[in-house]
Amino acid sequence: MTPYLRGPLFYTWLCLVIATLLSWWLGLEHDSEPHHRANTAVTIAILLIAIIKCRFVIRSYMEVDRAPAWLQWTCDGWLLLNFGMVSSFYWFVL
Amino acid sequence: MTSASMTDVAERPSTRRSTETHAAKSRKRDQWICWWSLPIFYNLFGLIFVYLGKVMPPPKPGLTQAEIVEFIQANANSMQIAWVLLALSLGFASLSSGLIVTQMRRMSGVSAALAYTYLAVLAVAALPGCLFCSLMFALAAFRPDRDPQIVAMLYDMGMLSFVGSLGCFVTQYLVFAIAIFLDKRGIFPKWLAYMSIWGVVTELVAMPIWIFRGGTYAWDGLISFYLGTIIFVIWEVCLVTCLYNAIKRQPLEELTAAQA
Amino acid sequence: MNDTTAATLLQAPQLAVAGATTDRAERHLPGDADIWVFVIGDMLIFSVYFAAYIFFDRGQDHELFVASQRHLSQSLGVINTLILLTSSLFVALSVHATRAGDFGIASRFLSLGGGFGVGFLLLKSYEWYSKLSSGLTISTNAFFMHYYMLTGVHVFHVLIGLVFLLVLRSELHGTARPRVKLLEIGATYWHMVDFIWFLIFALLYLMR
Repeated sequence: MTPYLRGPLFYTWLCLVIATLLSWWLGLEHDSEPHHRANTAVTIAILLIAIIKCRFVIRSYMEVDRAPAWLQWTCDGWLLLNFGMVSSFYWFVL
Repeated sequence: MTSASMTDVAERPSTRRSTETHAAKSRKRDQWICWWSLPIFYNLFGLIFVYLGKVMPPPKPGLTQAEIVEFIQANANSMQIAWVLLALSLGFASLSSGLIVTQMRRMSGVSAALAYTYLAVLAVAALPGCLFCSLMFALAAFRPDRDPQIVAMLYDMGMLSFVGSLGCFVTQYLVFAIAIFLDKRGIFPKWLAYMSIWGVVTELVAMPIWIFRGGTYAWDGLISFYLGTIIFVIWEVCLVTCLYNAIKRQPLEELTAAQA
Repeated sequence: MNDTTAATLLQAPQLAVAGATTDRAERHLPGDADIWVFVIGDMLIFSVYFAAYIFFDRGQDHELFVASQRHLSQSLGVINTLILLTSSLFVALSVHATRAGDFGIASRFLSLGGGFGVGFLLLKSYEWYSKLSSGLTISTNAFFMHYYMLTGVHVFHVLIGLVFLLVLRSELHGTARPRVKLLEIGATYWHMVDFIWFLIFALLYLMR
């Protein structure tokens, strides 16, 4: 089993773990303020990390990087749609 | 087509194909009659529920008794027509159930159990999913002199059963999906099975309508109603198309001797 | 394993890391078209859930949402995210092992993946239980309505995914020549369940 674990998928997993912990750290309350404040920059950063994690899973685990172009475009399009949709709310509404 | 005329035309190759096609059509005529009930009934369904009955898109869950009474009275005439029409036509929906079951019986690796389950569950589902709503609203429309509290209850009962009759349809979708997955002959395509699983999810996200009187998960909510309805319509269109293809591709040899 | 698969497998490490695309001849659709109809459709449906969460209800009372979020355990959310992405690793590895003909190893990876999936469900159940014990139910406020609905629908998808994994496991054990395509189909769905969770985690637990 170990040869498989040493392959490129392990590196994908490592990146996902690091990205997850990073976004969690960003989401923690760092200020001394008692109230949980909304923070657009941090929020967009967390969203971006989540989108990048999704792309890692899609491209690497789901092997879309070797898939026909239409599938690659569709998946990237969906990622862009969700990023645009959520970030537009935070950027323009708040 | 008698056997004598069949022998005659066998000598003329150019007409053989048209003869066979005609024979095929006539032997499948009962299935085609059932199939036609689908587009006819669903268009009628649309007319009844959307234009005449005024329950699609649904009225708001959070209305006061006075507002409910006003809603009913304002639309009483069209509602009366709608629900009488539905009472007369709902039975025809069972033709499609019979057809789907006939096609399900053709599947290999699948016994009659799933097909009969489908039949049974849709027979049960028709009442809360369709008829109950019409009965409650018909009663409200035809009896304007009733106590507003009773009218409000009829309103709630009608809408909650229409949007919230979840379990029957979950079973229908699941049984259909399982049958398609198990079928080795590919009577229906696998993607129709996956779409049926979407159908299960639409019923799950309709669960909260019993709790909420407004918002995304109320009976007029974006998710519980609108998304659910869109997915249902897409599924239904796909089902009708797949049924058409299934009947068309069905080999004549499969039809029982009784149909000859 | 035929030549094309072997060639693709050998190239996979470099490609997977670089994220590069291959030329026409080596393009391979993982699984089949049917599962991608399912997955892409599900992705779009989840986008509608997200849109409803973001635009319809969060816009009405942002402060309420931010305040309610404090009641969620970010730690449990992170642990669950790590559990699910690890399960995804194992499921992906089981596909690779199946391609290489190591069916025993593939089955072991699948069991690990499924096991982590069950772990996710157990932790989620505990999380719900602790919220419910604190009196935070689906009708507490709009935030919790979305919390229970989004995580609930996701849990349903995890359950369906586990059923798929069971089917894959029986394919590996029950047939003399397990079909790689079937493994790819099940894995594709499982990975979708994983990355949808990434977005749910970000939206519900972290983003203010």
